[in-house]
Order: sequence, then structure tokens, then C-alpha cells
Amino acid sequence: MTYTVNTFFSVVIYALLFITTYFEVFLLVTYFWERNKFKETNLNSRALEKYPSVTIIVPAWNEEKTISGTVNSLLQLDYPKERLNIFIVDDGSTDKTFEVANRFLSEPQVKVFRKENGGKYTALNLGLSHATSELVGCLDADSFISPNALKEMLPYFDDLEVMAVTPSVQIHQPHSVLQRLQAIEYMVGAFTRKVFSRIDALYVTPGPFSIYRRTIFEKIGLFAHGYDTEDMEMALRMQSNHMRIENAHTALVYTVGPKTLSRLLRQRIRWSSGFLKNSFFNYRHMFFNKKFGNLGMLTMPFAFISIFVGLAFSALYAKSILSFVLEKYVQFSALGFRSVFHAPRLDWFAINFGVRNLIIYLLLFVTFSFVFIGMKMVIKRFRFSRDIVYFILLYGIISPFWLAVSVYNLITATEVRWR
Amino acid sequence: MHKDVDFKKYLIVFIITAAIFATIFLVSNFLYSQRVSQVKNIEESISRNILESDIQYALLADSLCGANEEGNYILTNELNSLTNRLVYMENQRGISDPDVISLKESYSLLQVKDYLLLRERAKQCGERPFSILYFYSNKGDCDDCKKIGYVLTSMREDYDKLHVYSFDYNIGLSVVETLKSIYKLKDNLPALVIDRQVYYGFKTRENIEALIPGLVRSNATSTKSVK
Repeated sequence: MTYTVNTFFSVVIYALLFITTYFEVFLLVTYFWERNKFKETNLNSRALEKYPSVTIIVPAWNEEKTISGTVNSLLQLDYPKERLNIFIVDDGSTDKTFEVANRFLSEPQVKVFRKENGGKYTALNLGLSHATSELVGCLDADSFISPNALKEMLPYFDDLEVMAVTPSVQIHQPHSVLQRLQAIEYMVGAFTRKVFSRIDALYVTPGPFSIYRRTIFEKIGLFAHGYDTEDMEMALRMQSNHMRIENAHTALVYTVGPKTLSRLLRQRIRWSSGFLKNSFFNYRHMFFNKKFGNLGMLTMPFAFISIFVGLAFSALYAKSILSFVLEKYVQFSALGFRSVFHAPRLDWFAINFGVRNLIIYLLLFVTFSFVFIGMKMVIKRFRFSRDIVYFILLYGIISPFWLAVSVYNLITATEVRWR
Repeated sequence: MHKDVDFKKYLIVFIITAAIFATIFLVSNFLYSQRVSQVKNIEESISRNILESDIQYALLADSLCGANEEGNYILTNELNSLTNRLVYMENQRGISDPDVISLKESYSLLQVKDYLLLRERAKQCGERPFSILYFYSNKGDCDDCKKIGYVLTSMREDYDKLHVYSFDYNIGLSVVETLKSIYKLKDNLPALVIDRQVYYGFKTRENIEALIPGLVRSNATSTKSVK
């Protein structure tokens, strides 16, 4: 009986390892095949009339501390001022967000709106209802953009089939261990999103500074609640209507990463639950449907499965950590403090070269190469730092918490709070 | 419109992934067979050493008594390094792996041979052999085996003259079965045999030290481990 159970789990683990390896190989193959598309965009100056008019909507709810930085970064954008509007929408804040926003009214580009609290998507829709520009973007009120971000994104809209362009989102001044870990995760994200865009498979247009053609909202409707992930729902709706989304990897946007574990968990539960619910309840017709290209055949199914893959691998990781702790406990209970001074032995026999372990070493190496490529894309050079160590050691320990809760939320269809 | 799905690319990626898995499988097996042959070499070398010592005792008898036990230490060290490697292999390949079982059987025989040699020398020279026969089980029915293993390992590191021989109670080897019947061992593990007396259950380092009076602590440090 035990043998049968072990064999079953072994088969499941090898299948998950194969799927994960397949996906990572797919990303690397795409990267090497389309490497020339990863180059920087041509920022040759255009004639003024060639700059499309743009409205950036800043939905804000209780962001009195960060909203000034966000709006200032928008005002410093290297973009013709007469072509750029900034709409700040206060979504019924209970702090001084509205007062802080009003200080920017002296800038002719800025308009401030105030409404009752109704959620981020309602704030975006209010802004959209007042927008008349060709392009519309949004920027979360805890994010900051680099001055050339919009110019970096513009050339992608020269292709008339492109309906939205996403930036490369990075963590703003990471200080705590959790933020440093996220900084590396976002580097990996920079790489994967670029590859996804090359195969028409992006399924998120992130809140920080995604830019859309305004006409799409007339065709497919305004932002929806989307299980508190309106950016993911909008991207899936666009993809479901065969609208192309591109990624401008050189357009850098910085967001403040959650500092505490509870905030990080809340944010990730919202994201994972949002993806699971949106894709399962509203867009499951896209799964394994070749009409939706690589998104339907590969990235959406893998993103869905990866939640379970993550849970399985985290369980294995947790098991090995637990075994190590138990071993140390047994050692301590046998020898007391003498065990603390027991130096570990170096013997190549101690390294596990079993098939499963070798595959895991390979996957770690590939993940490391994603970090490497992501860093080269974002900061133009690779710099080994403790952040990478935090990411490799800790990500597998904390991610199962939000993955497990998200699966639970999907099964029980529990609502999650935005904040 | 979405780009058409390039099934050729999907197939190429599948072939690459399958090739990676096949390579990993081959590399893993190659490394494992390397380890098996390395362990076999160690066993052969120990076997030769034991034979050499056996012949030396037979030829020189009590004239060896005053001599340094260095040769014996080398043998013990080799046995210890073999113990560690077998533990690693057992952890990595599982207790039912045929190669691991075969290597453990040879290892048990070598230990018994070394034990007999130690007793022979002690008898001829009128010395007291400092030895512990340790019986364990790794079937999951012996909670204290790992714990006492750490105690015995630490003692071996501190006492050069102490010889610890560990045997898998369930190995099914005739020689081990004979030892079990000589000492009338019950399956109440862990079991230690010290001076022909059987002790069951976990014993602290201090408990064991009290059972072997005359043990002298050495300053030398080594890397020995007990299952």
C-alpha cells in the first residue's frame, strides 16, 4: 500500500517536474530565437504631431504619503506637456489624499476628481469617462515612473494591431528582506513578461502604467471588478477579443513592494485568487483553445497548473527543511550543546545526485539564468547580491501560503479584500 | 488576431525537454555506478587489509603486542568512511536498493572480521578490547536509533581505541543472525553489546562511558560516523 502511494506521488512529482522544465525550456528557446526583439527601442525624436495625446489616470485611496511622488514622477515625464493629461481620482479616501492631490491643480495638465469609495476599477472608469485622448494609461498611486517610460512605450503603438503596452515593473528602493526578495522576483517577471509578449501571451496589464488605446474601451467595455484584479481581467478580456498586448521592457516603472509579510500575503492572495477565478470562471474557454494562440495553449494552462506545481514543490521543500530541523533536534537531544560544535563533513557522497535532485538543481539554475537575463534587461548589468540568496531561499517558504489560500478561495469562491 | 500556434516549436521544446531528462537520468546512473564501484574498491581494500593483519597475527603472534596499533587505526578509519558513505547512499537510494543491500552485507562481514581480529589481538596480548556492537533498524520501528547513532559517532571521534561496529538488525545476513543468536538479542532496538553484555534502549554518552571503564580520551580528531 505504502509502495503504491509512494509510486503514485513519485509519478506526479516527475510529471510536474517535466511540465515545469518544458515551460522553462520554452521560454529560453523563445528568448534565443527572438533575441533581437529584446533590444532597446528606437527613441528618435518625433514631430510634435506624431506624439499621441495621452491621459494617465491615477486612482487613489488613502495614498496621502505616496501620491505626491507618483504625480511628480508623471509631471517629470519626458513627453510634450500639451499632449499629456493627468487625472487624479480620489476614490473616497478617508485621509488627506484629496487635499494633497489638489495641491497639483496649479499644473494645467492635472485634473482632480472625487467620488464615493467604490473600488479601484470604478475610479479608473470615472477617469475614462472624462478622457478624450488617443491613449489612456493608469498609474497606481504608490508607483513612480522613469522620465522616459512613456517614450519607450510609444514605438510599440506604431503597430496598429497593438492595443495595449505594458511596462517593466520594478520594486522601488527595496529595503527589507521581503522587498529585496520581491525585487529579484520582479527581475524574473521582467524577463517572462517580455517573452510572453513575444508569443502574444500576456495575461496581465499591470496597474502601474499600462497604456491602452482608448478605443478598446468602446469596443470591449470599461474596467470590471474582476475579483479585485481589474488589470488581469482587462488583459484577459482583450486577449479573449484577440487584441494584442505588447511589453516595453525598457519602460521602467517602480512600485512600493509590501514591507510586511501580512501585506505581501494579502497582495499575493488577491493576485493568485484573481487569476484563478478570472481564468476559471470567466475565461476558461481560452484554455487549450488554439484560437487564442500560445496564451490558450501554453501560458494560461501553465499559469493555472503552476499554482499546484508551486504548492507541491513547496511541500517538498518544507519537508526537507523539517527533516533538517528534526535531525538537528535529535542531534541536540542526543548530545546537548556538544552537537552545536560538530563541524559538518565534506564528502561528495553527501551530495544527492538522484534524478529528482538533479532536475531540481537544473530548474534552480534556469531560474538563476532568468534573474541574470532580467537584470541585464532592467539594469543593463548583472550584479550578484544577497537579494538573490533571499529569493532562492525564502520564496519557496512563503509562496505556499498565498497559493494554498488562493486554491481554497477558488474552491469556496471566497471574496478577497483589495487592502 | 493571435499568432498561430507553432506546433513545430512545441515539438522541438518537447524533444529538448525529453533529451534533458534522458541526460539527467544517464548522468545520475553514471554517478551512482561510480559511487558503487568506489565503495566496492574500499571494501576490497579493507578486505585485503584484514587478510594482511590476520596473516601478521598468525606469523608474529604476541610479538606484535607492544607495537603501535597504527595499522589497525587505518583499517578502522576506512571502515568508518565506508559507514558514512553507506548512510548517504541508503538515504539517497532507499533501504531496499539492491546495490545498497549488497554493499551493506559486505560491510557487515568486514566489520565482523575486524571485530574478531580485535578480540584475537586482545586475547594474545592480554588487553581489554574496547568495542561496542550496535544493532539498529531503519524500518521506522526504532525511534532512538538515530539518536544513539550520534552518541556513538561522537564517542568514536573522541576515543581512538574504541571500535564501534554497527549492524542492521534486519539485514538477514547469516553472520549477523549468528551474532543475534549468540547474544540472544530481542528486537527491542537500539541494542548495544559491551563486554558481552546486552543493553537495550537509548543510552547517553555518560551511560556508555560508565559501561567501558578504562577508556582513554585521545586528542586526535577524525571523521568517523556511526549509522
